[in-house]
Amino acid sequence: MKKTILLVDDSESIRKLVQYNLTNAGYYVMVANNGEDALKYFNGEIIHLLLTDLHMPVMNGLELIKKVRQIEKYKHTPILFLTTETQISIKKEAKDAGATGWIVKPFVIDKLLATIHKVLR
Amino acid sequence: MNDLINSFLEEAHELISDLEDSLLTLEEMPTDKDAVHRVFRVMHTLKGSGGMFGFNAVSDFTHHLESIYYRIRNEELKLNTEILTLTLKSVDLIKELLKTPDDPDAATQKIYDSLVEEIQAVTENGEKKAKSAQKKADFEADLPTVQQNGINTYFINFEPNAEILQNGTNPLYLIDELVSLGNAYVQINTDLIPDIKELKLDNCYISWEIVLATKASIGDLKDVFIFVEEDSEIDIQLIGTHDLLRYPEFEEKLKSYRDDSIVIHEIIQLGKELITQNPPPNNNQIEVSAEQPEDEIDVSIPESVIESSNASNTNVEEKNIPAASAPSNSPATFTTIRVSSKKVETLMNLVSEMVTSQARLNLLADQIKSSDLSDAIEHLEKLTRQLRDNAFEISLIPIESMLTRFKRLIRDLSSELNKEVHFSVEGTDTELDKTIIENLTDPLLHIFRNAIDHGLEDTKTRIKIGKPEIGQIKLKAFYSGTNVYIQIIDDGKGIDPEIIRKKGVSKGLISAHDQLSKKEIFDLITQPGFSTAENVTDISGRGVGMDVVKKNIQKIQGELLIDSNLGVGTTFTLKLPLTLSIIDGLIVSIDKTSYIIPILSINKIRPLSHSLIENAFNNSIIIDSEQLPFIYLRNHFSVKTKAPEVEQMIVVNYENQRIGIIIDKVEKQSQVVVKSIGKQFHQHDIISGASIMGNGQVALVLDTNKIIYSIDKAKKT
Repeated sequence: MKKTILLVDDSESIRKLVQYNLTNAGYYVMVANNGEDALKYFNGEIIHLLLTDLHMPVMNGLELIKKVRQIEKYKHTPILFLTTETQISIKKEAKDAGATGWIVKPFVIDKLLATIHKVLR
Repeated sequence: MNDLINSFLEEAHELISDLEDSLLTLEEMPTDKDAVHRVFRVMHTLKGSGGMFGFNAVSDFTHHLESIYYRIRNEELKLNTEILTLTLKSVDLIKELLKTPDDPDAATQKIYDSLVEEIQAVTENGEKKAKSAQKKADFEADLPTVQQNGINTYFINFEPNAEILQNGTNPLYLIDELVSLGNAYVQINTDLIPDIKELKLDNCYISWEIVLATKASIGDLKDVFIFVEEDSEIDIQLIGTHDLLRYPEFEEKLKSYRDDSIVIHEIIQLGKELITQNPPPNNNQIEVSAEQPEDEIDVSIPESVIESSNASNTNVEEKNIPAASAPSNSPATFTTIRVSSKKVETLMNLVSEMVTSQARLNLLADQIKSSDLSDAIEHLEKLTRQLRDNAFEISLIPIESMLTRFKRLIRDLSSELNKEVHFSVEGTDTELDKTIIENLTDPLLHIFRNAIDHGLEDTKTRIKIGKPEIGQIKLKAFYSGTNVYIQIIDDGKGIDPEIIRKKGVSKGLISAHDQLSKKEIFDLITQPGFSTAENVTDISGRGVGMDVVKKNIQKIQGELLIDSNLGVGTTFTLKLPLTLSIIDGLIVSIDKTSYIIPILSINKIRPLSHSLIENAFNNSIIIDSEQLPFIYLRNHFSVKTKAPEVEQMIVVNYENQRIGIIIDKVEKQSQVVVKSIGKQFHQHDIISGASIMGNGQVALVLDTNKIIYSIDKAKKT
C-alpha cells in the first residue's frame, strides 16, 4: 500500500515542490495550508506521516501537533516538523508536544527522503 | 520543474509586497507585534523556499536579515528607524536577487556584501561567538584515533527511553539504519521486559548492543539517533580500526556474551590481538587501487548477506573477490553460486503452483474447521509466503547485467556518428524480474540509439552553441513504491514540440486545430508510423521505432514517458513493475464472480448503501470529506442481478489520484499467481490477468492504474 503523507505548509510553492518530489518517490501526498485545515484530515483517514511547518497563520504547527496527539488513532503516528537553523531551539518544545523528529530548512530532497525513511517504512 | 519555479517566483513577489506592507505598518507603530511576526514569517518562508528552488543568494541573504527580526521577536532588540530603512533596502536587494537563480553580478554583489555588513553590525552581540564555540565543541567530540576514510569498528549501546514509542518513533528503524551503514553484529537485551501483568503495551523495554564495522564517522552514527538522543541512553565507542567482524574469532567472542552485556574492554583487547596477529590489508590502499569500488563493498558485507543478494545474479558473471583482502585463515567459502536460468524458472513455476495449492488448502481448512488442521495450514502458509518471496528475490537480476551491451553500442555509435559521448550510470544495482529485463534490452537499445543519433548534437555544433564538447548520456534506475524507474537522460538538443505537432498533422495523427499539452505532443512520437529524422540514417529513424518501443514496454506492464526541453535535452522514463507473476491481492466479488485487486494499490475500503450510489451526482461520491470519482463494476461487467443493499467501495491510489471501485463484497486477502489471459481479452483493458483460486475457479485481476486512467479519459471527453 502506498504510504500517505499529510503535508502542511502555508507556502504554496513549498507544498508543490515537496508534493511533487514525494509523489515521485512513491508516496501519496495530501496537503493542507495551516493547522486548522490539516486537522480536518484527522477524522479517521489513514495518515502514515504528518509533515508540518511550524510557522503558519490561523493555527501553527505546535498547536496542530498537540491536537493530533490527543486523538487516539493518531497517538503514535510519526510527525516530522520543518524548522530553520535559527529556530532550532524550538525543537524541544515541538518534541514535548509529541513530534517524532524534524527537518532543517532549506533542505535538499534526498535529505528529506532520508529523514522520512527514519520514521516511516 | 519550471512550473514549480514560476509558482515560487509568483509567491515570492506576493510575500514581498506583504513584507513591504508590514514594514510600513511598523514604521507607524513600531510595537505592533503582529507585524513583526508577519515580517519574520515572510523572511522565514523566503529563506526556506529560496534555498529549495535554487535561489541560494536569496536564501543566504534572508538568513542574515531574519536574525534581526528573530531578536526583535524575542525582545532582545528594539525596532528603530535605522533597522526599518535597512530592511527596506534589503527588500530591494531581494527583488533584484529573485531575477535570476545564478550568482549575482558584481554590482549586486557589492550591495549584498555591504548590507550583510550592516545587518551584522546590528546583530553583532554574541551570536557569532556562540556559533564558533559550538563548532569547536563538535570538533572535539571526534575521536582522534579514528582511521579517516577507512573502516572502523564501533560499539553502540542504545537504551531507548521507555516512552519512546509514544511519539511515533520506531527504534527498529534506527537499528536498521545503523546496520545498513556496514557490517553489524546486533545483540538484543530483553532483561527489562516485566511480567505480563505489569507490561504496558506502548512502552519499550528492549535495548540494543551493536558492534558495527563501517566507514561512517562517529558523527554519522550519532546522526542516526538525532531524534532520540535527548531522552535515550546512547553510547558510541570506537573499539578498533579496521573491520574486526571479519575475524571469525571476534564474532565467536561476541556470541559468547549472548545472555550478558558485551564487555567492551575485552573485545577491544581481542581486536588489538587479532590485528597484530593477522594484519588486515590497509583499507585506504584498497580504495586507491581498486578500480571497481563494488568489489570492495563485497568484501565488507557479511557472507550471509551476499548469499541472498548475489545468488540471484544467474545471468551475471560472478564477482571476483580479491583473495588478498579476505582474512588469510578463514576457510574458502562460496559467496555466490551460478545456477542456470532454466532451474530458476522451474523453481518459480513450482512456487507458483505451490501458492495455488496453498489457497486450496486454506479453503479446505475453512470447510473442515479443525483447529489442529488450521494451525498446521497457517504455519505452512507462512512458509509458503517466505518461500515465494525468497524464490522471487532469486529471480531478480540487477540492471547492471544489461550494461555491457549498452556501453558497447554507445561506443560504436559514437565513433560511427563522430559524436563524443560520455556515458554515466546510476542505481544499476536496482533489480528487476528476469522476464522484464529480457524484454527491456531491445527497447533500451533503441532509446540509446535515438538519443545519440537524434538527441545529441555533433561536436562542432555543441562547441558553437557553447555546450560542453562531449555529449552526456545517463542511465538512471531507482525504486519508487512498487515500481522501478529507468531513465535515459541526454543533454542534447531536445525535441521541438512544434515540429512534432506539425509532423503529427501532416501524418494525419491529429488535426491542425487540436490543442495538445506538451505531454500529449511528445506521446505522438510513440504513435505507429512516426519518424521525424530529416535524413533517414542507418542508426534510427526508419519509421518503425518508438511505437515498437512503447509496445514492448506495455507488454511488460510498463509505461513510457517522454519529457524534453528544447536546447537542454531529453529524458525517457520507463516505469516498470517489480514483478509480474505473484502478488498479494484482495479478493472481492460481484454476484458470484470473484475479482482480484492488488493490495498495494488499495488505500481504504468503505461500505456504501446502494441508494447512495444510485443517487450519485456526476459519478462521484464524497468519502471522508473527499470527493472521489468511482467506477461501478456491476455496470462495467453488465451484471444484471439485484445489487446488495450495502456495497463496498475500494479506494485505490495512482500517482496523486484516488478513485473508488465499487463491488458487492470483500472476500479475503490472498497471494495470487497472475497468469496472462491472452489476446482475446485485450479490449478489456482494465484487466491485467487472471488467477486460479483455491476452489479451482478463475478470477480476473483488475488493473487499477488503467481503471483510473479510463475514468480520467472519460472525464476529458
